[in-house]
Amino acid sequence: MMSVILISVPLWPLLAALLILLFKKRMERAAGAVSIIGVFLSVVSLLILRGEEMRLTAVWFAAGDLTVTVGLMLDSLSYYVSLVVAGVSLVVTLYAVGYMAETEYPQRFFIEFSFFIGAMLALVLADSFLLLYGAWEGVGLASFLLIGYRDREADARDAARRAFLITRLGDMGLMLGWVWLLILVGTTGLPECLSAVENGGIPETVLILTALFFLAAAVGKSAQLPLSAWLPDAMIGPTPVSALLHSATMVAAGASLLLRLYPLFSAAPGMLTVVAVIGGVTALFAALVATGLYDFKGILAWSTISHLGKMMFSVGLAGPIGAAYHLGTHACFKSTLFLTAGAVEHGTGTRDIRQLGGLTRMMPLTASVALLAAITLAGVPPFSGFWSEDLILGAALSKGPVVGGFMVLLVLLSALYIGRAVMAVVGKWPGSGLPDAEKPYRSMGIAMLILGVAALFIGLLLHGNMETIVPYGSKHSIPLVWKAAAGLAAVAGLILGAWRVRSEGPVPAMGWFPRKMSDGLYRVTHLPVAGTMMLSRFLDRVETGLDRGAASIAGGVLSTASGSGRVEAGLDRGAASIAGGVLATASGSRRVERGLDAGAQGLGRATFGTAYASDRAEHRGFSDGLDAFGRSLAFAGHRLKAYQSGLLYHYTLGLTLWVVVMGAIGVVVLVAM
Amino acid sequence: MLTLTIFLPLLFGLAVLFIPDDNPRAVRWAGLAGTTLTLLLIIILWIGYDPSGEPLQWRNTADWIPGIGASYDVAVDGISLTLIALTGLLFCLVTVYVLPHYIRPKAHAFLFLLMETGLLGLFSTQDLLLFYLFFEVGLVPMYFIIGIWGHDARRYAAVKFFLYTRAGSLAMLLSFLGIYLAVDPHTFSIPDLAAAHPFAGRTWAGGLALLGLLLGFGVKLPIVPIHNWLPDAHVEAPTEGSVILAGIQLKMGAYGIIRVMLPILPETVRTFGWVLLVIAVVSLIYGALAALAQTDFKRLVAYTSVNHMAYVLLGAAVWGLTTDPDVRQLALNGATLQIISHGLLTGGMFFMVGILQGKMESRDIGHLGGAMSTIPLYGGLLGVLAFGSLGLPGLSGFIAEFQVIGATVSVSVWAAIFTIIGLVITTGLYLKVIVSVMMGEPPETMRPITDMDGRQLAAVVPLAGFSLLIGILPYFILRIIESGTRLLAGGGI
Repeated sequence: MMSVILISVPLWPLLAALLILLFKKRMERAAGAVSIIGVFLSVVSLLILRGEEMRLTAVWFAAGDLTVTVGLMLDSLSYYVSLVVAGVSLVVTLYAVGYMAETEYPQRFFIEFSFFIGAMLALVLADSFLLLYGAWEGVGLASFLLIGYRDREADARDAARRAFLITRLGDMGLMLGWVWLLILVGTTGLPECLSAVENGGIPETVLILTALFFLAAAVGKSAQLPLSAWLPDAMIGPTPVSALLHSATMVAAGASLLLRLYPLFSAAPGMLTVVAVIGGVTALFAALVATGLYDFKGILAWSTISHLGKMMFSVGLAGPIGAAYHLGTHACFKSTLFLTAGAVEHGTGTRDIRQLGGLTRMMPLTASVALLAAITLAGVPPFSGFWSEDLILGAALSKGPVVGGFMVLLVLLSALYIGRAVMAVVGKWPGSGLPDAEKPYRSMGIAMLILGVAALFIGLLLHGNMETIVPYGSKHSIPLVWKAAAGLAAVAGLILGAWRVRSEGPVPAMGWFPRKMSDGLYRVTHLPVAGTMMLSRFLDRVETGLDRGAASIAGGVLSTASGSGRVEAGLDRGAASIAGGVLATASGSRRVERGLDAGAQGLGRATFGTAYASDRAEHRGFSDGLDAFGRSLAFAGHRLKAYQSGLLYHYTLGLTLWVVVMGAIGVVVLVAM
Repeated sequence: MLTLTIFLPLLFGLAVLFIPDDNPRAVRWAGLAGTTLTLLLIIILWIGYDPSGEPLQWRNTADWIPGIGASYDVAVDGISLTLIALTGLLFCLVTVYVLPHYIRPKAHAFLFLLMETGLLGLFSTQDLLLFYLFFEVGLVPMYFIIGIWGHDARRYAAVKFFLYTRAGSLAMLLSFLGIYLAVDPHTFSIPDLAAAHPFAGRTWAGGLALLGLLLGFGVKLPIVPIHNWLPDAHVEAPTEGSVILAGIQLKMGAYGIIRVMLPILPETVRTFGWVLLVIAVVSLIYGALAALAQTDFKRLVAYTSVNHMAYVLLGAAVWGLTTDPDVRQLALNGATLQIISHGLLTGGMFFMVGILQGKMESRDIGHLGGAMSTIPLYGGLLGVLAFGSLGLPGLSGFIAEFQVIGATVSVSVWAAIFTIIGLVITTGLYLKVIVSVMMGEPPETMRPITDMDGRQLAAVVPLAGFSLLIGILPYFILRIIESGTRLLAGGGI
């Protein structure tokens, strides 16, 4: 029974997507409701499963001794992550119904949105690498379709394409990693692979390489350096998409993959350090970039990259508990912020912070939710962000005070950019525009409120429970001084950012260099793409060259053929002349014949002459006898003539036939070659 | 039974010739009846095939030229059965697609049916000389199909096609003769040759035989640098010709590699495995890059075949480079499934290109757009085929490619990484297709167009459907394939 419920968790939203797809012509507004029901049923199923632990696996197919399995696993970690996913999804879907209310043909949106939620739940619950990979690509597909939802805009198309391509580059790492483990371990079951790693059944180099491959996948999905550039572009998608996919769930898949595979990373020598460096550098880089932007959603996007960097940083510092903790709190407060950004854009028609301001009066609910979420993000105690970053700080401190100081710097920067952004949106500052604002739809307001409250207190709720959720690593105790320093950094950052906007307007908080950094990153990202395109165009030219080469070969063959045709003609002529010669010979011999003939006749005549002469001379003595001799000679001459001429005729005919046959064989041989 | 299946299309082809000229409808329906009946027979063969039984089933033998050890010997194993099924399916769909095409239908129908006999025979013969004969019977009609029913530059393309394939098949014939002479007693029988290991310990003689086979099969596969006939032939061929060309004729090479080259020359393949690996990886990346540069939709799809079919050679190379039977099995299963998957997806893709060309009168990617909103059925199907071709899980391409990549990574990480790079480039080019054909605004100059009609759906939906079925429940076909590859995976060296 429980296993059926577990299977149904990812299936409900997928079923909803299928229903909308099948009956899309008949449901215009009902599509949103079907979506909500789908996610709601997933949440209910998860709540029923509370406290259960189980594995469901089935062999999908086998090749020799290699078993490819599919299955779902419910343990404390997957339960926690899937609950975060399903919970945030439910609220954001509620919000989306309001957000999409005026859109024509919203069915497509809800099909893709529900499909995404189902795939994401399958991803976090997967028990086999194969299912994990399938779901991983599935959420990538959903992300592509949703970013490109407004496909009539060229920017949306480009952003969608870039997002899919860059993340797929990482996904390929995931594939390489798991197929290699499949060959070595003989199954795609996650626990089997991990226990094989722990038992030392895998050579060290393979361990390092597979860890690198998996890291590439996580870097791609979580938009870490150097594969970050797609995420800010993805903000062109509808806001619920940004809130769910590109802040709370899909991008967290990278971090949750690292959590799942933590044993592998800690067993591969040096890999945790690599993870920490990538995460730390990304967190710093993205936070700096966020201080210089004017697009509210853009700031939130870079902030997301920065926070995901913090999670990676934490994993790399052997603090998976802090990473998992931050995954949950970040999902709540960041999606809240995105929802408010969507409400602001919906109400005012812009998200450029230079044109916004003073929204406390126009949109009091939105403004206050945004403010609270910003405080949470900054890490002001006692709200969620503080608690989770506290654990990361602990992990950092265990590596030394410099690393700890770096973490405090990250906290300060986060607070700075979010203070600036929120102050510019909701506060009054010199020259702040006061645009006309409409009230958001009720479902949007309710959703923001629910998520905002959750964001504030989820940290406290989880506090103290995280060790039971994450089976790896341990918590580090932190000296009070450092706790206070982090809290102070958060408050100070917020105040600094807000004060600067108050006095000078929303100028970049750290000058222009962060902007240059992000431009540089885009260029660097574009480089391989441009290189590939150049190479492909070059190859196309090579192809045309080859084509011409082939054509000239073909031409050569043809001219050889015509040459051989000429040879043929020559042969023909030769044969003809031979035949002519033969004929001439024949006619010559005919003339000889004639001569002979004449000779014979002459002889005959001479004989006759002699006969007559002897007749005259002898006068009747031998006349009759000689007469008969003469006649017989003449007869023999005639016979001889006929015989000889016939033989030559036949001979000529034979020779001509032979020439024809030989010619034909020659032609056949030439053609066959 | 198998013999009947092979020659049934030819019988129908001859019968078609006696239909009066003024009745093209009857010609078309007779052609469809022929391919459908053949498909039904193939289904019976499939049902009657026992994956755990004898390696060769449905065997028919007869003396042919006993003096030189050549005999009429046809049978199926798991590999050939799946290819025969693909052949039957694609020919049936092609005859559905051409139902309303009335340009010289008799010759058209006859050539296609003759070709089907050639291909079915090729995929079931167990005798090298017969293999060569069927190879030619399967190829030559395509020359006329391109040359008569093709597009503008058809004569050039047809001659090029003919020259390349003739040169290739003569090299193949020389190798066959070499193999024939290398065993004592001389025989053309493939099972006997596989048992005899004609070139064990004779590296260079074997290498020469391998080279001939590689030329013969490589032209068809195609491998770089002897692929150059392919884009022209595909672009100039009529839609139904492209479908068969990509869907089945390229598989003659792939099938030859798996069913002739590997079992007869295992030692040589092992020696030159790295060469094959390099050729495969180069073809893989080269094909993807060359496709990326194209703006002609049909040419683009044509070049992707170079990329996709290179997985077959990659699988063969990996088979040679390892002795682990599991890895070998994975490589061969993947390679064989890739043959099937490419037939389904790229065959379908060429149908889609042809349909679009009929609708929009252009194949230039820059001039297309908005298919998802204006013709949603078409857009959706094209999306399924394109995502399947770029290896999205849930469709057949993924199942095939991950097995080959998995086998490759255990032999050479670098080859696997390059393969992956090729896959990313392929992703990029299919995204280009998806984004520019499906998304965006429909071109302004376009006249109102209609979505796919029932006949077009009947031609494409089965292909997409089978791809999806293999992607989700691959076992039904993998168990058949595995029964054919099991012996090869275990034996050899």
